[in-house]
Amino acid sequence: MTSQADFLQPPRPAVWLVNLFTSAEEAESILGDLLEEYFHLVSKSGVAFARNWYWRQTVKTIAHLVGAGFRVAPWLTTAAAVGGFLLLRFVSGLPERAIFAVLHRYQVFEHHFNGYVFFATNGIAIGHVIVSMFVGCIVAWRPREGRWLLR
Amino acid sequence: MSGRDYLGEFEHIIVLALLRLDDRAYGVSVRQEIEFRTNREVSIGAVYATLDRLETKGFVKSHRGDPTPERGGRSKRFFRVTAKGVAAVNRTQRALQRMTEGLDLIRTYS
Repeated sequence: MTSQADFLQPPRPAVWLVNLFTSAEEAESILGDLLEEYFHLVSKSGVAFARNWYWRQTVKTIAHLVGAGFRVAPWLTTAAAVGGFLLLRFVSGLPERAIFAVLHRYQVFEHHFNGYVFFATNGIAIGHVIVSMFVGCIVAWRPREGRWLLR
Repeated sequence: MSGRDYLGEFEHIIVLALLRLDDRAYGVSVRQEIEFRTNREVSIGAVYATLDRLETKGFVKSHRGDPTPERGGRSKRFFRVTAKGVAAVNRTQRALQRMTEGLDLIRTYS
């Protein structure tokens, strides 16, 4: 029952992304408008079409908000993007080193070879995703409001 | 007269949509009006980014409506064109008219 109700809602990662790139006041209007049109599309064209539309709107909306942010505060936006890139380069090797340190510490290679292969491949990929999201949240910090966008 | 007194292409479209919608102008209705009349897909982000810019310039003003259940308890933000905005749209229209005066666009470029 809950999963059916969840399925009818807009995609959560898309809602989260819009929240991440907007102030509380902007989010109130933008998310309200998106939700109103989304439910209208669900009843008119089906959930799959509506979800696809929601994602398209999210991506375009974020691009416009970033562009608007750049026009308002070009140096701050550039500094955030360059800083994020450098931070990502600096920390991108950490998950790999941490996972191999743990695998060698517990001698996983000798006792559980399949587990070793799993962590050495998928574990590193998952680690990279987590690190990228962490850096993304830092970059999305809005100094002018003195708070993290991620609520 | 500076370039700031004229409206950009999308600003012009947005102000015209607000004038058409009168007191029903908020994000969804503006976006749908533009899609319906221009046949181009517009993102809600583009609409708000432009409306915020127009509000900063004093061409539009906004106020909040009541929260509604179909919007998940969120309120609408309604927009109205100010007298300064009407003057800007008139100026832009006149400039465009003067620029196209005497041009037979259909015969020459189609």
